Amino acid sequence: MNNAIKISNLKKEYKNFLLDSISFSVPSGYVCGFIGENGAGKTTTLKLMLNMVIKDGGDVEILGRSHNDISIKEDLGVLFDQPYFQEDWTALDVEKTMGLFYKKWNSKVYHMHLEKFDLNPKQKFKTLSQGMKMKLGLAVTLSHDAKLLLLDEPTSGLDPVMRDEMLDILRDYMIEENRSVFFSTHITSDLEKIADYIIYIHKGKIVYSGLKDELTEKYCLIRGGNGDIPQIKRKQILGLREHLGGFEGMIDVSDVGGFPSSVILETASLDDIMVHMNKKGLEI
Amino acid sequence: MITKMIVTDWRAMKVYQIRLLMLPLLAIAIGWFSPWAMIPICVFASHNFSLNPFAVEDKGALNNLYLTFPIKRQDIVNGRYIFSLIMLVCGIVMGVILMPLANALSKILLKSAWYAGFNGTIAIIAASFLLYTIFNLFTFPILFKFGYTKGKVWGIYLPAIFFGLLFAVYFTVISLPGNELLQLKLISYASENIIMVSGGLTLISIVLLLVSYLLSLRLYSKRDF
Repeated sequence: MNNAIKISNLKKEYKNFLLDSISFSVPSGYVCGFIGENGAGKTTTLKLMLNMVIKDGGDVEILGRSHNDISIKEDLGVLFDQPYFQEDWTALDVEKTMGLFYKKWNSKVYHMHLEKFDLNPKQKFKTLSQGMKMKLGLAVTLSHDAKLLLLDEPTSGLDPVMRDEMLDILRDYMIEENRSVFFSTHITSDLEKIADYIIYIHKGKIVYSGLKDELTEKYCLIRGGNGDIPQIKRKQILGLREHLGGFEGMIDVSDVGGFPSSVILETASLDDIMVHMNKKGLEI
Repeated sequence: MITKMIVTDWRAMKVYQIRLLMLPLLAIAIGWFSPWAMIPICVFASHNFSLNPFAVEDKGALNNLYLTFPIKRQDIVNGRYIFSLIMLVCGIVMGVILMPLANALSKILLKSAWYAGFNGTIAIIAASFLLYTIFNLFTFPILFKFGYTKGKVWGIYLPAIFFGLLFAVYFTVISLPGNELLQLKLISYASENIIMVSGGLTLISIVLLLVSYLLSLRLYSKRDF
């Protein structure tokens, strides 16, 4: 299987943060969610991939080529939580600039997206709402035949309707073969809807890398009354919270045996997994 | 690629473009009394204008935008330097055009007139080029390393104050009793020894510009965004 992204021992050290020799790969043709709490290292990883931040060590391969090969950026659609456009630019100004740098820039596709997203080509960037700004950014990323979209928190700051629209756009993008999306977010409910693959980063370390379903099927939520936890099971519950009425937490499905039948087991969402993992601070 | 970078920098500073039209007015307002000062003033003002892409880069994250494009960091540095050199040429041309105007104003208002002649003008251009490269060496590497917001105090304000003071000191010195002909003597010497003076100044300027460029390249290649 070809990898859209392959990262090996990538390291970056700041005064108060260490991206600790992380390694992971993302197969081509997948929507990959890059999850983690704020400050976990998501944006730093993305910036390292793009050479916006200079790495202290390790290797990055994107679409089978080193990230130092600038030609790969022809095939990347990049969008951060705030598109990097000048405040006084209109969508037409944006197009003039993008057209200069991308050989495969397609003006027709761009204008089609502007129309589809209801964007006025003559409206200044600074007067657009956050949602419209993101749509303009997406219109750009979708207009030069990018093979891989690198999106950093593209849905943060958007209302639920706009977020849903954004996910629809990404679904449409994935219809063509050999396209991949690498999508960093802490709004994991978006990923429940669209992602097939998950990379989970916690405090600068990768704690999970694999299929989303494997992750969500690996754990379940557990709830029970007082005295429902056998002493031997206590350590197996991740993020255990005990209160007057009983307890709750998350557990590996292979460890559910041994509890009284009165306990309730529920499917864990990505949000639940993130929250409980953060409490426990363990590797998956 | 350099043309693309210059065009994009130019578009990014959309709000500042109008300032270019104000440069001749500014030059006349500052140096109307001395025709020879027109070229250095215009060069200085034009160099300052070439710093505008740095001024917009932080606000609109221009560097980050560039780094999403299939371009090298070196292309960004090259674009800024070539734009700055274009502005240098604009400044020289503007200064040469404004010299007769300043001469006329000086004649009417101060009853004094002065014309440098071809060789004298070449010497003034060479000296202005040297001033430009020194200012460039002070500003560009710092702005490439720290960006406009963090680098403007050390990279723009302090050099501007320094050169302003230098300018004021020079005018004070040539205005002192006994020094009335100092400036004329300097220009005459430079005119008579055009290859040695203007050639030497140009050579020093090229070396300084090269140092500035290599320093900027090195600092920018290591910068995190």
